Amino acid sequence: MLQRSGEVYFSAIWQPLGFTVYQAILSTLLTLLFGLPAAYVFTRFDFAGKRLLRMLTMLPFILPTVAVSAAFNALLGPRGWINLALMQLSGSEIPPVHFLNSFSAILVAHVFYNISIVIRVVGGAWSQLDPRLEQSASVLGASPWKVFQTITLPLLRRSILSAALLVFLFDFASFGVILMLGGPGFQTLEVAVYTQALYLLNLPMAAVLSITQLICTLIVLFFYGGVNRDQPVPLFPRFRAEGSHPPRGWAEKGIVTIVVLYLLLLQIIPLLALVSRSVFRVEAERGQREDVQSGLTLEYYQELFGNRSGDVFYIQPARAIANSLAFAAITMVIAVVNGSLISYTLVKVPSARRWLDPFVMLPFGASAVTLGLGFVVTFQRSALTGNGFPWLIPLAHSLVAMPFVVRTVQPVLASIPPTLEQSAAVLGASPLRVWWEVEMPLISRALLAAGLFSFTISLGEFGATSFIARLENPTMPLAIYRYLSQPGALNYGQAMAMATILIIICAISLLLLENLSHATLRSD
Amino acid sequence: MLEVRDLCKKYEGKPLLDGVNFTLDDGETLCLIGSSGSGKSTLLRIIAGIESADSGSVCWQGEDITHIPSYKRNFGLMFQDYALFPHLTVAENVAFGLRMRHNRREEIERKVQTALQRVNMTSFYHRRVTDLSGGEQQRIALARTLAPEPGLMMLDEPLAALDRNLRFELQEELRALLHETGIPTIYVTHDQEEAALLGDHLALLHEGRIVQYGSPEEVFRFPGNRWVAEFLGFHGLIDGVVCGLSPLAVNTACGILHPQAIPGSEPLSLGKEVTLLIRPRKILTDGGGIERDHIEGEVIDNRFLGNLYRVELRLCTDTVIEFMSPTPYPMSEKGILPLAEEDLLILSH
Repeated sequence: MLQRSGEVYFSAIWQPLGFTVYQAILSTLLTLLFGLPAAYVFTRFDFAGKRLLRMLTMLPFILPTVAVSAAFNALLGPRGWINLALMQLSGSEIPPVHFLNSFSAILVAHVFYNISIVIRVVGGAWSQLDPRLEQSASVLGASPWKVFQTITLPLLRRSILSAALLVFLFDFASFGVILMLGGPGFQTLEVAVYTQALYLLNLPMAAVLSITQLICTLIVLFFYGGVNRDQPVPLFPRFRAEGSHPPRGWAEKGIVTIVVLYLLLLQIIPLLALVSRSVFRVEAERGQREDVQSGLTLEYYQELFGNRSGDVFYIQPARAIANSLAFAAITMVIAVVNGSLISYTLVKVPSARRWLDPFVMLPFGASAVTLGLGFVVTFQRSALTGNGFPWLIPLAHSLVAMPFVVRTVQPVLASIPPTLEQSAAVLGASPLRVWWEVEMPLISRALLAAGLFSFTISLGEFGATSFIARLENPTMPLAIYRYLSQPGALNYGQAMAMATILIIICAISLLLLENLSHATLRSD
Repeated sequence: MLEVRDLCKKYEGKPLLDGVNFTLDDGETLCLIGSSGSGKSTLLRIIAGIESADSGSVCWQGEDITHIPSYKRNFGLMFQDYALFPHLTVAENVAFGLRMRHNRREEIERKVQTALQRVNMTSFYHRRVTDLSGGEQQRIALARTLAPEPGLMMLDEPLAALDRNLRFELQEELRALLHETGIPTIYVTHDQEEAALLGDHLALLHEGRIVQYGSPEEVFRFPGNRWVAEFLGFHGLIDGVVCGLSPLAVNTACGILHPQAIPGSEPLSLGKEVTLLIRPRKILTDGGGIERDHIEGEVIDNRFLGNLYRVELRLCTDTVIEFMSPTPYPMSEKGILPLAEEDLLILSH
């Protein structure tokens, strides 16, 4: 596909657009297929390890795409566990399972990613349902299936639609998964923007694709807004779901077992494969097979902090880690401060809501690649030439994180009854003291959660960063991507090790986030 | 002394308060009553300084405080939902106003204890407010309002969220407390009986104005107009035209009736359209010779309640009058209710 730089081809829009829509619809349906039973099981049944499993299924959602790609690579890639095992058994040198660079890899990764949205959004709404409604229907003579059909499903319809649109949005804007797991054979709009801008250097074409992407996103966001309009925000979060019980009878036990099994298989095994692959050496550098024994090793981790130089393609891993942590810290501050100010405006100035809210949510759907392209076009000179602009990356990251911050802080802020502030004022507190003594303590958990969210998002951000970051100064996700695309067992191992570090950091922040559960994580 | 002059406030283009005037003396409790949406709460919030009026003024001890921010007024306002700070304990909630006034630590401690004692909640000192029942929250909110010894206290339907029994119990306690502290109080309620029990004066707010002001006796005995009578729960209202002045006589669809004139009201003229309130004395005994009029109607209910019968009579105007009688009235038949002068009250139209 050779195109002269600077020209716009409409055929180059239709093909990625068609594929983007097709894969997004298919992924969304599959996600619902696996997510809805899981939401049901998590709301209705108590079983051993439920809390842990629920938390683990939340993990993928905040995981960086690179880490997820690395995880699937570690399980199903040519150097992954399954292929290694099969090669060992057959004595062949050619990996028999071709999972990477296939359409099914894209679908599986999308389900892996977004199943947590369905569980959280639908499960959340499900557990808020007053069990007495279903009990009343049952007393009035409805069979369990009728109760589900006539009471539960209609009451959940809105949240299912809401979850489906959100999943569709994420699948539609999917970038890292397509690039790394789909391979060169598949192009979504996002990947097309990336190739046009960075490889074919056709910025006008990239811009046209970006705008197409943006328009589609706005349409979906419009529907999403419609679905979620006038949903009441609960004053204080309700208690944990009433009406969940241990599974009784073979049917209930069966469904719980099936759901738990496929969640383990889909959500947990790839992550375990990654972690184990990062500490296990099974092969040597090319051509050294006989010398190296397989076994446990910390070599890949040591290599990350070692100091090997001389190679032009060499990426300093410690530098990438330091960069990522610094960017994440700055992002956290920018996103939380700005996000809080926006939340305040949204809550205290109702007239601003109409125009400000879609504006805030835009980067949420506008996709990271579009954002990156925008940054490159706007700050072209400073970013790509000379010393660059070190604030550009955290700035872009904070834009990506902004919707999450606003969606975390705003509902909590809005749930503070105005009478609390008025009471404080009548009791003699000046506006500043009202803010410090009443509002701050009440939103502190939400602020903390928002900060953690921003930090984690920044650590894993790949799409926008791949545009802005300079080659010699990468972040962790960029380093992982480059390790994975370079040959050699050491590069592969380092990718595994670094992805493991990312995942552990994400897991820790998820653990902290769960403990801040008083502050609503996501309002959707 | 609090003086409220000509307060006006528009809400979404419609007048909510339309020239409200009243004064409140030191140590006095004024009950502000009116239906929901009549602007009672808004009036309180303007006096507290949380909202501003479109025009008019609020004066406290002779000083115009209309533009003084709420936190400098030293008033107390207790909200209907109590608005306890969920992140603070019971004691911290009660201490909040004292801290804002820069009281010393020992002083705060002492005053918190006193306030909690006043509402019988000392044992709740360290509790979280989110663990309290509705009645307990109500007491803590009251203690929080009382603790800083505000110059003026405003209570916005403080009992509305509680169940009936608890409400009666707390009404009595509140009454004693308001007496004891002597803090001038504006008490908002939509319950006429609560207002009569607690208020030294009642002010009825309707369509943005105070339509009647007086002691509970005055207000209940001589409701100023049809709306007030209906709001206070009187049902026996019929329209008529003045047809005689001495003695006063009103021609109605149910015949000519002779009501009592309200002392001090504006003089009536022949032919004036008026509303009559038929309010039979609580227990109707036979005869006695003082009844000048009687009124006929269909008996639609006759219920024996221990020692008296509660009778409902439907007049020709479809107005239903309820009264207590020592003798039964046969159902579905014509019943005759004798009326004395004081059972009939003339209201301005």
